[in-house]
Amino acid sequence: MTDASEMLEVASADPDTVRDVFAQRGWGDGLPLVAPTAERVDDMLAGSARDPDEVIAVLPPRSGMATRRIIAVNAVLAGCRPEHLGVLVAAVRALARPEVNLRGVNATTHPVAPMLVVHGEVARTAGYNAGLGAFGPGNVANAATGRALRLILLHVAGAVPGAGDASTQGGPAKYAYCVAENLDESPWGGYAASVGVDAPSAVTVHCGEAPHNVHDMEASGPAPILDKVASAMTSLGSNNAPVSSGEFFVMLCPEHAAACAAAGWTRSHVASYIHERARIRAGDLRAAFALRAWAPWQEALPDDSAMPVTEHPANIRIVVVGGPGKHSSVIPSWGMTSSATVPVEH
Amino acid sequence: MATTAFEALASEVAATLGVPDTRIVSVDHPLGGTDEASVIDRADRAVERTLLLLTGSA
Repeated sequence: MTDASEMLEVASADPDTVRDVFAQRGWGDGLPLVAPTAERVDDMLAGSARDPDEVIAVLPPRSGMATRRIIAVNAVLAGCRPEHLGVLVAAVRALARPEVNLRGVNATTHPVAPMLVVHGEVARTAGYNAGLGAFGPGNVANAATGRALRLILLHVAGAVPGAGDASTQGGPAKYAYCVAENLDESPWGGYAASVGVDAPSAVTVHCGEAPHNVHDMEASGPAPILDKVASAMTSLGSNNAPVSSGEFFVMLCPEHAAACAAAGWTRSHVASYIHERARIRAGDLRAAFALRAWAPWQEALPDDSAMPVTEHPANIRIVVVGGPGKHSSVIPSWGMTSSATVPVEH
Repeated sequence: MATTAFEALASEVAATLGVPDTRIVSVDHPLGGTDEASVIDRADRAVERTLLLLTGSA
């Protein structure tokens, strides 16, 4: 394990200077950085009453130790406020869960990035944006927390392009990828409770691609809207097509969610319908991925059968996000990873 | 084992894990999109290097 802490003396706390000093050491995300002075880090740690030197997680591939203090340093660098620290600590705990497979997430050539979804009270009290433009830009909490999580991956996990992150093209979601659930406009209650996390505040980490837009301004009922969601999920170029066990996060806008709920559809109904409709002709899929070792049941399907792009409706996760308008999004995972939802500590 | 394009990255990861002298066998890049005969040829050509790294003599 590696302790990432080190004190540096720099001539100026100017953000450009800090960025350049960091860059000389292979640190940073390329943008100006807030100097993590001891005073600022202490102020950030005031966001938690717990032991600042407790190891929250050991992050691969570098096996870096993420303590609250180290997390706070990166929170300062990114521009977070103390009220964001609890979310960030929970996100690090989630990243280290074995089902997330962070080692694989960082090692793959796929452009995967951990999307952080903030649930519950903290979204309101700490100023996260769940409404119009929730994926950004413009909100301090979403932008800074998302950026801080990436800085932790770079500095603690060692997910530096070419040295610990093998993504062929990288991606904009690797800069900052944080959004809040629009609980006020969710007709089905909160997502965290739906996966068994009964806490006032929680976070979900889902390692996936950047959002794929789903546009429907015409339908008034669920089926035509969700058919378009399914269409966005059935690309032969998606990792999920050949992997077949990955999750999809379907981020429904409030108006699309309301149309589903008004017809009496539950969150589970929505997932089941999408699972039934998000399918690719088996012959086409097998022809496109001839070298893949298909599961026996997939091998047995006749060419004209419709093969689901993920094996179970539970792999389709429904969250309400955004403001007015009729644009939802689909976030396919990398494939060999599962999301994790954990409570935010007090 | 790594393909040539990822040999440096494999060495970097090994170093960050505290084993900078990890013996790495590299084969020509890429493997994806390569036919079976070419993959077998690469494997055949990697045998001598693998034996050398494991035993000190081919």
